[in-house]
Amino acid sequence: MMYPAQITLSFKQLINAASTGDFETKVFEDSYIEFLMQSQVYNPDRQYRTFSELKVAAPKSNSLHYKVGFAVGLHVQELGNRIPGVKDCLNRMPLPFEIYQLELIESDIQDRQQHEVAIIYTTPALTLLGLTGDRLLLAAPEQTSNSGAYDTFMLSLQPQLSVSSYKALQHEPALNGVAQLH
Amino acid sequence: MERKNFLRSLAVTAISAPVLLEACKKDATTPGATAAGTAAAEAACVLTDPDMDGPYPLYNSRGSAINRVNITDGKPGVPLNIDIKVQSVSRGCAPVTNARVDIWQCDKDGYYSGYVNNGYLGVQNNVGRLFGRGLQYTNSAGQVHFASIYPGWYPGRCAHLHVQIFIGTSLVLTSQIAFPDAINAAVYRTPLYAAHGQNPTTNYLDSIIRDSLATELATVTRNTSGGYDLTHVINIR
Repeated sequence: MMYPAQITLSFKQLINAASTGDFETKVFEDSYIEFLMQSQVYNPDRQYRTFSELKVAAPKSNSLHYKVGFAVGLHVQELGNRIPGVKDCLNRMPLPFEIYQLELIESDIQDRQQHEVAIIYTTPALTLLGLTGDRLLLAAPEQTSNSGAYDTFMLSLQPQLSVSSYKALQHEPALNGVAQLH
Repeated sequence: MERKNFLRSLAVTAISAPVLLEACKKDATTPGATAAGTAAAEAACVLTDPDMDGPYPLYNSRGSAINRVNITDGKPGVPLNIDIKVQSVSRGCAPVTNARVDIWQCDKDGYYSGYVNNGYLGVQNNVGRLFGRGLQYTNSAGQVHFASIYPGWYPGRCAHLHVQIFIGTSLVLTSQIAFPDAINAAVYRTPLYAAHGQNPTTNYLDSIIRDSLATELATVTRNTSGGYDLTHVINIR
């Protein structure tokens, strides 16, 4: 990986019957009921019990990912563009997101305990300055210094976090000390 | 409470009685807990009442990003007021209150939100976008209102809206709403739509809708604001 680079990060939050927290509970409940409602289009006789079965029998049911996603849009909006539970290494700055997508992982029209969704949050473009161990060194979204040095933050790599887009920056910015990390 | 609900509540009580008795033994020192449990059981019976006209009490689309009147999301187009009335045939065409009405439509160029689609302007990735989609619950007159734009067209289809009606959590109707051909032609001559030209698929040439025009063709009239007013009645069982 070349530095510096412009990247976006995506974080996948799994929400299922075991999830706790107000946001997670609302998403779980509302996405399950919306699944029950919207899936009737593809399953009018209720002959398919799980989403996995339904996808095989009626491939158009893949539209349920985004149709169910609409049902939790206001809950996601209340997050204020901050990815829940993901902060920088100082545990101070939440990682921002710009867009989100709901993915139905599994569901069952008779057993809500089997219902599981993921919300995939994607950040705005971030400037990656380097990688040290398991930590990404990123330019802070808001720069406050006039000294020529960047305000930065560090983010730990974690299982549900992925680099979802990458673009090498052609020109080396005046990074002072940060440039030595290459 | 209707008779069958009353009978159902008796059945629930009969099934629950041994459980509640057992609970009494365990909570002998905390009588309040028993009362709370009984109240919760009664509340649960009310919440799951299938005879209610309205939305499932536990769910009113509270978190839905498309629970809104204005569905344009700033998309340009000729303004379109959409007024839909839902009636029940089995109740002498009485208005149906608290029915959830979902609608979705394409933009002026024939593109839908929500997914990647191909049209006369090329491929558009509209994942994560919501334009042209809304839901509302019918009022006491059985009516919902949306503010939208006149839909464009895409090959093979006449101008149309999609509509679904839910009672509680049950889907009772999936349908479409067509527009008069003459009005389509007039709108598609206006500046915002002219680049795409006229739609060769009129209502009669649309294989999906031509056999349903008796019930799916809306009344559309020009209004004094330069837009159009669409009114349509949907009859459900």
